[in-house]
Amino acid sequence: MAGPPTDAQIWDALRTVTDPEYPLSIVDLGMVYGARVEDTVVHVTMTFTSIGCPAIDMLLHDVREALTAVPGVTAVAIDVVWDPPWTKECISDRGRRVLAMYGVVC
Amino acid sequence: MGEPVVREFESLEGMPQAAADGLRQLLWALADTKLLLGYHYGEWTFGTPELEAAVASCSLSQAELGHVRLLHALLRKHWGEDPDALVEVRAVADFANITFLDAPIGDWPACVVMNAVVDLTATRVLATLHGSSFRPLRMSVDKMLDEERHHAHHGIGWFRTLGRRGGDGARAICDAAERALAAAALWLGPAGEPGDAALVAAGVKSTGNAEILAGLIGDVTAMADQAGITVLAPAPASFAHWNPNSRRGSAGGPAEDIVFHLRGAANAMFKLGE
Repeated sequence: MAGPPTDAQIWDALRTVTDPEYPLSIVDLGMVYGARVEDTVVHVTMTFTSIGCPAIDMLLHDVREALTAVPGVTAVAIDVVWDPPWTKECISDRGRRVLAMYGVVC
Repeated sequence: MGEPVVREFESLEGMPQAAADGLRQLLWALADTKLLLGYHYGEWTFGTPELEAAVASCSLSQAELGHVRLLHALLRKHWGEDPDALVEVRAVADFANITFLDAPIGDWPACVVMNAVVDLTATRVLATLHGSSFRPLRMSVDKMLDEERHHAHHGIGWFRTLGRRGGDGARAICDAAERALAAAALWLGPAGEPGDAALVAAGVKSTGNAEILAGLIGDVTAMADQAGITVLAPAPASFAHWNPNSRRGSAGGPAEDIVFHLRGAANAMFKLGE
């Protein structure tokens, strides 16, 4: 039987979820504001680049799927927030380097 | 004397009833206006004078519809409203959008005014919710305002361009802007309207609608000056038969064919399940 998932496993799983428009994980895009494990339940606080993002449902599905694949995780609770508002300043340094390779200036 | 202490509301519990009712009306009015903005921007994904403007219209539509989704979620959570019913079932006469949006937006100058004046009216109201005592709204409003900055840039840019060019385009945006301001004045309602006053008293809004209208007229006048045109302030609206739910002075609502397309009634059988 798997032990409780570690924070590293959770963040590694979140890094596998990529934005549909950019070749970048939602972690590097700065969309994940927090993740914690309570027993076997993962609680994620995240946002989106725009309120009208048409990929919201798809990304929520991908986050759930990635996290439930982590051994020891039985459930995922996602809290979508809009405060603080996402801006391009939220993108990580690594994310900026990757985007620059694709010609995206941010 | 210190600042008055305004209580923070996590929900409607403890909020004065008049403020709670006023907030529901306000969220309806904002959502309906944004729904119609989203519809018209979507229509103007085609027919723009420049391809860039078409792409922008598409993006503006997407943003407005996202805001509708967010506002409807608040109405569902705190008032038990059914978002589908708000769009699909409600009587046309109950739509509380700015009346400028009731009819098709017939030409590009009118579309520019929709962007630069009508959209701005809703944004000015949103701005009074920054720092709101109603926390669920406060936690969403700054993101909406951030997105609206881009709408304003686009609208103001085109407004100036058409005004400075002169001729028929300039005359058309003057006419449309005056119609839009009159519609905004009606939508904002009479000074001291009880629902609005209750929202300000409860700290849900920072300022009343009369101040918003004055600021809006100032913004549009300044924008017109920069564009080299004159837009007259609206004559005082008649509120004798004004309805705080529909924010209209008489019976009306969006055109039936617009509502038909908004509702997607003809395609209801293809809706996805929950």
